[in-house]
Amino acid sequence: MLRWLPLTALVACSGDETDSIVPIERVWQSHGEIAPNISSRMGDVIPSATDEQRATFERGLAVATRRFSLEDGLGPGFNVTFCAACHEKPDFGGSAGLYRNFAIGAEQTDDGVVFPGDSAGNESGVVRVYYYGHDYPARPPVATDVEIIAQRNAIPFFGVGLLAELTEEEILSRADEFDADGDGISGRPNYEEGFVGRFGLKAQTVSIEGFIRGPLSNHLGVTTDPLCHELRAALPVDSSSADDEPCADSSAALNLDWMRPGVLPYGQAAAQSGPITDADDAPDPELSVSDLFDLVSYAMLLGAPAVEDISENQSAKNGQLLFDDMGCGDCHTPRLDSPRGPLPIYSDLLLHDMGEELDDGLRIAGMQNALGSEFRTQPLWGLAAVGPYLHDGRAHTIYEAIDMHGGEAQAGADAFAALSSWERDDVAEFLMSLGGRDQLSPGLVPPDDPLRAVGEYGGPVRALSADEEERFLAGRELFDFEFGFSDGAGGPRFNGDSCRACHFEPVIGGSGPRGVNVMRHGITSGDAFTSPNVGTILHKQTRDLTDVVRAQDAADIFEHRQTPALFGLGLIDDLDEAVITASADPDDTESPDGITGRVSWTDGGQVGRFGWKAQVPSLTEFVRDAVSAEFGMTLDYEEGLTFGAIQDNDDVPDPEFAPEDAELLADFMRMLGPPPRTSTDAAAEAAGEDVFVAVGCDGCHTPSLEGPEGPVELYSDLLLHEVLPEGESGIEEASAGEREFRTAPLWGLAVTGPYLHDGSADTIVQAIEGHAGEATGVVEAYQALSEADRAALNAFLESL
Amino acid sequence: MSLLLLLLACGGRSDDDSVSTTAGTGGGDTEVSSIYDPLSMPAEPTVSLDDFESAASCEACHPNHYAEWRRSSHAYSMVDPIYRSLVSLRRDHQGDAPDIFCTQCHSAIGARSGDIQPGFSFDELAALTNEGITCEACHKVSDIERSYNSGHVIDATGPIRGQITDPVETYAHESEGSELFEDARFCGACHDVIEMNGLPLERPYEEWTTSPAAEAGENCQSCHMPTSSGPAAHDGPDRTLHSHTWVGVDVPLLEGFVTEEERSQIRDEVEALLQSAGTVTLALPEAVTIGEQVDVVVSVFNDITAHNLPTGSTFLRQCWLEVVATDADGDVLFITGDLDANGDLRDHWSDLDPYGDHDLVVFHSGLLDEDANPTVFTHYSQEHRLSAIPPLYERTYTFFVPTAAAAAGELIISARLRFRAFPPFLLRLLGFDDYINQIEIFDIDVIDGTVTLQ
Repeated sequence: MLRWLPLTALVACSGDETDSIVPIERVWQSHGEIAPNISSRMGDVIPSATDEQRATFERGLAVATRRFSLEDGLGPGFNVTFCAACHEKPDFGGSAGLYRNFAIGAEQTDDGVVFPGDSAGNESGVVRVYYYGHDYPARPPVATDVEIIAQRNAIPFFGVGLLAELTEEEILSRADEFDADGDGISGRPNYEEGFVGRFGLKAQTVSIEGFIRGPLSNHLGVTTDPLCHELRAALPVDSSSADDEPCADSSAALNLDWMRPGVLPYGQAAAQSGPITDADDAPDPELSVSDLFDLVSYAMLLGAPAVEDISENQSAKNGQLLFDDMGCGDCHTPRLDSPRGPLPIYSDLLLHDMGEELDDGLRIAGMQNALGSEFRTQPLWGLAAVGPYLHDGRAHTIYEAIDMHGGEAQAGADAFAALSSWERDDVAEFLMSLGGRDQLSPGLVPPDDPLRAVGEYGGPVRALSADEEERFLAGRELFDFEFGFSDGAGGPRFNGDSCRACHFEPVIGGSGPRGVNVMRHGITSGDAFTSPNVGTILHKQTRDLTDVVRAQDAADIFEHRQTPALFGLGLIDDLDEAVITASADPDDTESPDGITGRVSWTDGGQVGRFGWKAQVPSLTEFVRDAVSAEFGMTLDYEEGLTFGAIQDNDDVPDPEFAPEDAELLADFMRMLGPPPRTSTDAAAEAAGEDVFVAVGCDGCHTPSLEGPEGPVELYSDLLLHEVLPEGESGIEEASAGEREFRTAPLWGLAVTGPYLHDGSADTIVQAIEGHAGEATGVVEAYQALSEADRAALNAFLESL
Repeated sequence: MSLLLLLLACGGRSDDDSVSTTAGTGGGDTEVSSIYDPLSMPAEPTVSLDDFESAASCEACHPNHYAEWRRSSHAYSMVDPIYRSLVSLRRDHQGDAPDIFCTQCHSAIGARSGDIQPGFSFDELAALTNEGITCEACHKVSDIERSYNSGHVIDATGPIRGQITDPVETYAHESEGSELFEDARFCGACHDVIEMNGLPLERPYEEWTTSPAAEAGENCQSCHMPTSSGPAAHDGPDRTLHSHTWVGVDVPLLEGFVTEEERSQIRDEVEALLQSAGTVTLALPEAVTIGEQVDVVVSVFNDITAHNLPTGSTFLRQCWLEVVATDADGDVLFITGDLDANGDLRDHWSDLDPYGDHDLVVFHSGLLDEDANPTVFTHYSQEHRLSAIPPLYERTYTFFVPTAAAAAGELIISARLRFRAFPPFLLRLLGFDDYINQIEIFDIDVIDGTVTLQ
């Protein structure tokens, strides 16, 4: 390939050098100048943005973080409920942990043609793991013919607007498809509709709009219409072309006065036409034109990660020289020339053969010309904070990522393997210097995030001593920590790689949106429930990165499980068992009122108190259960405890999760305060409380239970009640029957939606009306209420 | 002469000896690219059959040890008809090459000497190979290379090794004391099995490593090789002796392998072992009004401190809970864990009532094939799910007994934790219908309770 030598840097980066030892006298020089005003903290707006663009950026960020509800048009098939679900690390616009991996499935015909597999009516190949509706089960099946499966880890958007501005000539200048220069590195462009591809792991997309509309449809089930000509022209990077549909009324939708701040159009191809309708009841398009415009603008305006000045960093400087010597820069081109000046992207944006081990087999139309083993050189700016690495996140560290390079990059990986450990550290130090280091955290909580106050969501249950505060923060950090396969996570199935993966609404420790629902499943036979051979949890993820989790053929009932919030669980943990069992009335004989209430007896004969089916008896057991069932990790045997696996089948020695870490997590949750009561209209709330009692909600949603430190106002009796309609099928868990659920505590209701065990209710009203069974009479009483009483009740419930 | 031909045959395959190791350290996702393993399934022989003596030779001086071994599962390991059938099915399904996989433990000497070759026939193997885990398969072990898949290093021409550190010098063989024989890894080297695709199958050793027993310093030998005192050989001094019967859960099915008297003795020993394995407890309301349901809370405790209940080849075994509620008229109001007319549990494998037992609780392993459907064949398995009870864990289940049609009076609740070595459906699948009636169901624990219906 043509070697690019920046005019501003005379780095001796000859590819002829094979010696990995860097002579000490080598003079380090920077990889060169960088265009001004392009870099920001990852997640922030590009410094060059105009005031109007900054306003658009903020509006677009709101769209990117908006949780789509069913009414908004989420689904019917989906993986996540908002864009930033997968683009969250280290901040919105970024990447995500392994728990957000998704799969692309394909079939191969007898004559070798590969085509994308269908998933709940979506033919992009993207496997959707959730479904609300009647055409498919809650976990749509993956046909057995879909045998080619590759997982994808989210890629960051930082600086994509700058990539959009690059000329095609700049990208094509490094292409060397047939390795004419004989350096073992080829590099060829991918094309979409005749334009040079630049986005996506296979450079399969030329348009940021297309790269947003596609995932909106594939992952959220949210439909959009393509932007029309004038709007494309008005994007921060002019994306218009002669083929665009003209806008029906080019002046009506938006104020376009600020358009084209002095940059020329770059002639991107038209965005993918994509599906513009879907099968749910929400009217299409489900995202407005202006919201889509803001969202695309937001992506284009995300600043590039800030590359560090390493002139005083000897280790990084040495690492840079090694990077050059090993030929890394042959593909990870340090600078590309943009209209704004050199971009420190460390990518040529070309396709390279990455070898058999990384080959994903996806020679499907959506990947354009890319072969299974070909991937776009991933830009390295911001690398520090966007792990895990490689297309499916298989590499937990930068070291693993380099070691796993194959194909054209095999020589580079071999050279890296031959380095001394300090030289490897130097290379890693250099790569860490390419941006993001200051935003690196074990998970998503930013470094040095302060302790929240008592009475705030995510704050402690009481004023903490200095030691307790240290422990609380350490526990929060562990709660946020993302475990990798090398830690033993995924054995072989898992749902999350951290506690925070599911518990983050509205803050860490809370509930989760539908995109992190756990799926339960079972077999109905003769109108009764039978547990599948794998148990009732049907996991979302597998550490086998060339596979998806499938259900056995006989499974025919699938049910979402909404992530419950963890606020105040310590107070529930402290309750005496007798306080819970006292209100049990299994035969409705103690207080004949149509309301029963049954104790959930869990393993070891303990009273269950946590989980939708009260299947877990204590916080200690809850941690053990979650670590095993959700992470796929193992724990030490501990006398008297009966939850959690003490062995699994992966190749990490058991136990994988340290006992002191399990205790730390439990302590964090013990100290996590209950949801704060709020008040906006005290009179309405007081009236609502009377209505709550008058219609009989308090029959199960007992306002408080007596704890050792005083009443615990959780609004639950923690007992099991039948609340599904007679005859409806459900999942049996622990001792709870198909239609039985634990009375869900109501504290924190306003901020922990969606509601009900399966997350089927967007609103409190829908949740109330979703009750049946024993609660039928209460729901009828509710429906007979006046508008004012209902509003008061709602105000009361929201105040909890 | 036959040995020479076998060696030649082996040499002829040398272009195919892409030797690789077995499945790493137990990774569920580790692929094994070759059927060969340099230690336990070598492409070229690493030992000679001529270097080993038959167990019968040992009997002369060690008659008690021999007698114990001869009726043991170790002696049964190559003649066991169920094992032989599973090996031949593996061959039918996947071709010759993988059929030697199981033999690396079932006859380490046969697998390493070249006697066992892909496509082998049990009937044509050397008598010594068919002795299975014979005396010298263990007593010539000089080291443990790994604690799974036949991880023993066999020193074919070395001394006879054992736990006695001051052996009496004898003309019969060289002797040497070895601490390995008191190490759980010695057993773990075979009692931990990882399939060729890397899927862990049997984990007794792995289970022990994280168990309370390991913490307390007890190992496999502590329970499975109980000690006594007496001479280790004719005219030898008194020693601490270790039983070589290794009682487990199997009673030999092969006719003629043991005498009827021995069979009966083994059966009693198996029953005693199983009855020490678990405890069932019941929690019941004293009285319930007719028409309401009775909540029956049953807990199952694994009394074994060292491994799961059950353990080993849990994908073949069946351990389950039977709960029956009978009213004063003798009518059965509720039942789970009962058998269909074929004798099978009414689960996935029942021909007559699949998934018909909605409350069935089974402690076992589920093997799943590549489409996540249940399979009993390890070579088709991609995933292994375990519901066995870890050591000293207690599982609690609630069953609901409807009483609308019940007679007033005492409702009797009976709960049994039951075990059998092989289920009928598997025996039918393997063509062993004759054995079905020979497989006994053992009750690990039984408990009754009553509820007054009024």
